[in-house]
Amino acid sequence: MLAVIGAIIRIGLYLVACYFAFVWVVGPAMPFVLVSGVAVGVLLPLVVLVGTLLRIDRFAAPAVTPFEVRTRLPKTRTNFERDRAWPNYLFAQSRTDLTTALKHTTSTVAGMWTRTTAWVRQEPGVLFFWPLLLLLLVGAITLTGVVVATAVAAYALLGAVLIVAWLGWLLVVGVLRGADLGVRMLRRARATCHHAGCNHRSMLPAYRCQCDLVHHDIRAGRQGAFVRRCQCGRLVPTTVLQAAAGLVAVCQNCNRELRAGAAVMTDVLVPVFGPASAGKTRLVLAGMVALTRHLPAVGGSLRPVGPESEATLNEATVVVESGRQTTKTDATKPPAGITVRLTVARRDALLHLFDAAGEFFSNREQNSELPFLRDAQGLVFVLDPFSVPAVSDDLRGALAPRLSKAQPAQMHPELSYLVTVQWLRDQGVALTRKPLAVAVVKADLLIGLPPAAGLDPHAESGEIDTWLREKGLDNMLDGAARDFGEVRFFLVSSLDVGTGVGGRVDCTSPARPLLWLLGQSGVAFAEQKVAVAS
Amino acid sequence: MSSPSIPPHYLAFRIVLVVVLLAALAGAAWWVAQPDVLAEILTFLGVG
Repeated sequence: MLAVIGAIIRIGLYLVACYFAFVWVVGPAMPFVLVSGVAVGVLLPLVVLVGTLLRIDRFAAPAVTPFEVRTRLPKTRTNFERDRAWPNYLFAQSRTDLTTALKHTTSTVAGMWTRTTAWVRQEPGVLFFWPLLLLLLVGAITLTGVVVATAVAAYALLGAVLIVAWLGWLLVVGVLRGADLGVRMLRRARATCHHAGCNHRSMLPAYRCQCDLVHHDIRAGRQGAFVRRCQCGRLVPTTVLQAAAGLVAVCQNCNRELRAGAAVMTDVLVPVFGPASAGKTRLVLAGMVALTRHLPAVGGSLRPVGPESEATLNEATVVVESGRQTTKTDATKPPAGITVRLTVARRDALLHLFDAAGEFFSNREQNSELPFLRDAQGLVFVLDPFSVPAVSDDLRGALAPRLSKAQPAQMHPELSYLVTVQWLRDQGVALTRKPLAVAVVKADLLIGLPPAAGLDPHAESGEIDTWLREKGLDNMLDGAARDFGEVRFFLVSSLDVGTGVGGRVDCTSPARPLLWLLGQSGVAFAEQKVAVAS
Repeated sequence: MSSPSIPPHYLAFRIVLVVVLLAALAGAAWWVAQPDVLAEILTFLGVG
């Protein structure tokens, strides 16, 4: 009985103590706990965010380096993976920073709850002081709620700032890309790979950094607006116009170096086709030498680009000036392009001449080894008049030596033309948008012979057309007129450069088909400033 | 390979974000320091 009375008294005293704890401790302390919870709840996410952004010790977020861009940024729309350059802060690091700060905040709050509950579990006796624990619980709940609210507000604020920055970035990138592409399109600039067997053409070449890393897409974007930072730390411009000034352009297909000025200068690709022994190489060599003399005469200049082109031009000069026979072109491999830089009236253009051995034009399989044919601005078809039966048949008896001196091509010109043009059609090449220059070569041997009666060195395109039709090539010429956008005929003598007084080309100069095609390809100076001496 | 140094534009962006946060915090503190708000808080605490 006494024990029961004692227990009742103890319970009563405990309840009285609890009452006084509420009245004298919990009640007065509650506002301070609430305000403290609010203050700590506001400061906690902000302090963690600032600590993370300023990279203070354990708060620092891991850096998104060039080695992670392929997993951290969206895939590119090109055929290549992302270049190893630093990403812009907006696209990877900002997310990492904010996520890291959020993790630190949540882990701090969660740690607070975990430690408190673990303490209560380990020391259940503390529940005896439950009115005081109630203070702790209210404080923790307040702090958690305010942390959530502050975090939402702070992240919304930072998100808005990042969105504004992103819109600015979008504007800058759009303007830079548009200006860079627009200028280059107006210039008709392309990057042509001159290397044998490749000949890839594109508007956007790759660029090699000094650390040897190739950047396949330097355009303004997620890896930089005005400049991008290579993995080596060097800055790389984000426009082709700037990059061309200091970096080495590289072919997107074969990774080999392109000519200086690729993709920023007007780019004209002219292949020369025709049967073996027609005189293609001679036309190209003599044409180049003729251009080197003609352009200074009209206020311009020409210089070879690259050591191979320089060697070829030097050799061409020797061959043409000495009147030596041209060496047979190597028929075992596709040709590399010969590139020359033309300058007139402060305008620059790169002219790539491709001269493949005639064997490549004898059948479709071999044509397929000449990718440069597909993307040419215009073509030169070399027509050896001595390979036309109606001409060669008239050169018998006393005139036979003239025929053998001409070393006529063995293949009929029509066959060679059809093989190449049919292959181009099959490749889906829009020939109707391209000009064709038909160079009737060996004019120095032809003029004055009976089959060339009525044909003189000053013959216009129409007169040459008429003469060729008389010689039975009307089918081929009708086909050419249908196939190509414009066809122009030239009577050409490649024996010498055909330049007259002051260096200007004369009427049978081998440079004339090239000058016409340059004009057709947007190199306006070729037509405006070139006064062909006749 | 040594770890690459962080580009300066990362720091620039981070400083801008920190300044925005501190400005927001300063704004909140300024609002709390207004006499009527402060009076309400002190009253709530029972010390006003």
